[in-house]
Amino acid sequence: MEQTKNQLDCGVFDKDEAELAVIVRRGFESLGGPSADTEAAIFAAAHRAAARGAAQRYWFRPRILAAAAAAVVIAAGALYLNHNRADPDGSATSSQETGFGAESTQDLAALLLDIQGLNEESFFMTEEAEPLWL
Amino acid sequence: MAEAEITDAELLAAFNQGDAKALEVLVGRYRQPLFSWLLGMTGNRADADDLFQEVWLRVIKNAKRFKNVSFKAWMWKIAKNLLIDFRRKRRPETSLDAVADADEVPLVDRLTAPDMDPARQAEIDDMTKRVMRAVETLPDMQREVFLMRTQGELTFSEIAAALGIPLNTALGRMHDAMNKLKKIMAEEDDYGTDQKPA
Repeated sequence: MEQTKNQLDCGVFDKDEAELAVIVRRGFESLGGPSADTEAAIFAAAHRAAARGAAQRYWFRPRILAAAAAAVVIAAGALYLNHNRADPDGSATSSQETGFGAESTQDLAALLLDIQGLNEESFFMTEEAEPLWL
Repeated sequence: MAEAEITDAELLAAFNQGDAKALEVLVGRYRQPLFSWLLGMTGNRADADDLFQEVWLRVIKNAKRFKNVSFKAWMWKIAKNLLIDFRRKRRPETSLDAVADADEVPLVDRLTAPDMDPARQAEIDDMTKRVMRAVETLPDMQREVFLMRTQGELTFSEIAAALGIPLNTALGRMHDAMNKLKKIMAEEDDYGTDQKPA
């Protein structure tokens, strides 16, 4: 009995609310909405914010690509060095085949020392150096 | 997908992806309900206009922080907070229950103001005027719930979330508001009957 009464109350409440809502909505609609200037200001702010977001994304993407490319180069370099250490014969063969990186690190160091005149190895080994030394 | 089928959250997500038009759709969706609520709470068109703009600027600023909750509740929470700030700054000496300053025109009188569009004026019947007058007399806490429900069509859970009150409190305030409105209108009916010539 009590439950039925509550259901009836709820039904009446909902009906009253719906009727009043229509009237109140009509009344406020008659009073109009926000001014055109206000809406224009909101839309302008929205466009500015959207453009700012797009610009941020535009700069963000190349940064990620650059970081990824740098990571790939570092990883490749590390692999290459590792491969050289593990299998020096294989690397020599591949260097000869490709012609790329024909100089080993040792050769490069010797060349640099030669340029600076500090390569003691060649200094002692060459015949021309012998009279000087004596 | 039709515009009406897109949810508020999806529109806000699109805006976060750089689609400004999505926010325009969202503004259009809540243009009348939110403005009416602000007008009902401030009783002043210029203030309602300023607050309306401020609410949307906050929505734009904080769009990325929006979690997947009810957009309506989130937006109305912003509106409510701004309204509290506005009242503190504008009228620190006046209680929050005050509807309008003495020199401000009551909403119901605006319905029949001379500068109003005659076509619109003709649409407004006596019943509308009576209900609007009664709504203006509601205490602030009841009026905000009543207008959220009738203008914004918020659920009671959304109202409770927006106002930071328990669900039962939101229900109770709506119930009280309805009872008060019915009582005011019934009294007006009696008064109108008494005034009629025999």
